[in-house]
Amino acid sequence: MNHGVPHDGVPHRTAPGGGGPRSHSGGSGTVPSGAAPGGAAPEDGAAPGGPPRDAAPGRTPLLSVRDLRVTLRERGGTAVPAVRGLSFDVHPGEVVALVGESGAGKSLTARAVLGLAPHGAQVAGSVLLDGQELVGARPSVLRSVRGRRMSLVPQDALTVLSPVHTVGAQLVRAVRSVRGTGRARAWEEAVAALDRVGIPDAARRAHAYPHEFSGGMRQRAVIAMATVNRPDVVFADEPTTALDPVMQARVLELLCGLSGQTGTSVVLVTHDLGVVGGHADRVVVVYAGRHVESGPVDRVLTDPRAPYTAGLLAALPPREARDRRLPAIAGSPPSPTSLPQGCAFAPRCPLAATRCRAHEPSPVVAGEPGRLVSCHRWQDLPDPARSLFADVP
Amino acid sequence: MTHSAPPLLAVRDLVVRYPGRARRSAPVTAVDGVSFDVRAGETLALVGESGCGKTSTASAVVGLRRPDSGSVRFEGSELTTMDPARLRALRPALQPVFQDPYGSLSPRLRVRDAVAEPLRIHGRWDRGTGPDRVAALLDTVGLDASHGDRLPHELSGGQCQRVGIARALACEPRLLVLDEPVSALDPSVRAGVLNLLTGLQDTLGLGYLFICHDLALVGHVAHRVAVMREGRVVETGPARRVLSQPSDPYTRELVEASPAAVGEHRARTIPTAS
Repeated sequence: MNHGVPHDGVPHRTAPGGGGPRSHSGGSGTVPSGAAPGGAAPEDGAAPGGPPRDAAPGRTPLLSVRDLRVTLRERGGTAVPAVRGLSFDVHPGEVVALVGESGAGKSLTARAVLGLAPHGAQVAGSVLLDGQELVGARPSVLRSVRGRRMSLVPQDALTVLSPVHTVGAQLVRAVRSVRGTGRARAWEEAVAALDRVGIPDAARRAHAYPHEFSGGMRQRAVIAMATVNRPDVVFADEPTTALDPVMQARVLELLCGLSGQTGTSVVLVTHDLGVVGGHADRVVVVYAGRHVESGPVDRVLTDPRAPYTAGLLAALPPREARDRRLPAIAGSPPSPTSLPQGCAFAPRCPLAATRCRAHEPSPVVAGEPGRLVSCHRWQDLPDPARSLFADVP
Repeated sequence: MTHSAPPLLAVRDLVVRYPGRARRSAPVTAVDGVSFDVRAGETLALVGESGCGKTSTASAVVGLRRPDSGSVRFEGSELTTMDPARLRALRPALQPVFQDPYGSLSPRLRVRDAVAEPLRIHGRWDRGTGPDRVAALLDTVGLDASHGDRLPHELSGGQCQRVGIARALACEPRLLVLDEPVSALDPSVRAGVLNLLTGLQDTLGLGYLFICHDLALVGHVAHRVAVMREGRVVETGPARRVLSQPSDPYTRELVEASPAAVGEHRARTIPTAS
């Protein structure tokens, strides 16, 4: 489902220090390798030291996350840099997939954007919702935004429902706490929201308790709760991990269908690149708290520019099995407490060179508008990119 | 696969029931007359939605739960009625690997001791050759000897799962029952563990009962598939046939729901920088 053509025409706003022409030629040598963020200011000046825009050009993003940094404190007082300068945009009605492995900082990113970072975490950078800065905003400002304009479908969606209140009552509370509507009106809204997420016989089911719902229905009820106030952006944190494949597909269709129905933007946080295709419009791949690659889904999935993305794609089993061995990435993701110097993926990357181990790459425009890659060697990727990864036992 | 050889594992009309939650409620039939075979060197994938009885079937096969009725024959011997002493003697040949890589290791046991434990339990520990055997097992699963000194929390999920596999291999099994062995792993390490499993099968001729809900994966690793729904097997057949031409409507639904295999359109078609 693509809303508009993601890479149409000349971008009004593209990368720093270049603009349109380079985006089209995409030639080698034009990309400042390892350019520091802020090498050139973005034209709108909204992002201090901002990396290049990664989104469909010519539209103002609804939500603009710039150089987001979240640092957690461990019990001993050591700082754990979990999100290390992540930037992405979300446009109205768009489905953006935030893809990364466990510990990549994707859930934390979602929480930090909503002002829900864990106690003691330091959040820096900028989160602009329609131009309003949310990082460092007062709690009252955040409260006015959460639920009303941005909402979260939390990771453990099956346990967030209260077992002692009916599903309808919990939805009513969500409506009334945000909009202060009357009870009867709120109940109607609740039933309508349940109906929208495909709960059969919603008017009767609203009186049921969560334990009377199946796993898939509870997941839907939580989605109903997150969308009942028709927010502009819904963050869905691994909404399908606890579900079986049939339910997974339905929930994804539902979530992404909402963006078509109500114009809600969806940020789909997931570890599974496989579920992204066919559901999201754009994808942002994250590794060890940093941007790896972003762009239109169909382009990133078919023609990855970063070795990490290429490895993830190569490791997805093809439906028609040719060889029983899969190309695999050696090693495992680094812990945020002991990050390697330079590019975090370098120790596992077959293309890693000296500069990869010395300097962390920053996002640069990769050959075509709307695509960014954070890799020193993206132009050296072989064709097909999957051939980088031999099968590692 | 030679079809003339008797199967390594033959399960017939397996029934597993759990008592109902309330005092007088009827028991829940989790596995309702399941039959299948696993041959040496073959992977049978058991697929189906959560709650369909896959794991109950697996626990009945490895003897962690006595089935209420039905037969589980391993290399011709009936396990369900076997006396405990003989069952214990047979157990090394039939080993489970669990889904949760951390949860299946003792947090206090160093990797080396965790891998030696099955050898000790089955009286195969030899003070002279034991340490070498452990080192060889770690090597087989792609871990360094240096990993032997670590505790589970010092390992990644993929490494823990490799330790779990090394433990299962310690007593030279002939059948591994793998209950979602990679679904808890990060995508970037999943393929490595799968390759380890297929490699072991090729070199050791192990039979695998592979429980999985990811159909894309099944098509890749399994020779045959049994699709379960509500405690019954609704379709069995060669993996390719079942996944490409499912005959049962439920299988079709599962196949259609599995995320589109990205690999199918991986070709580089768009003109890029040149």
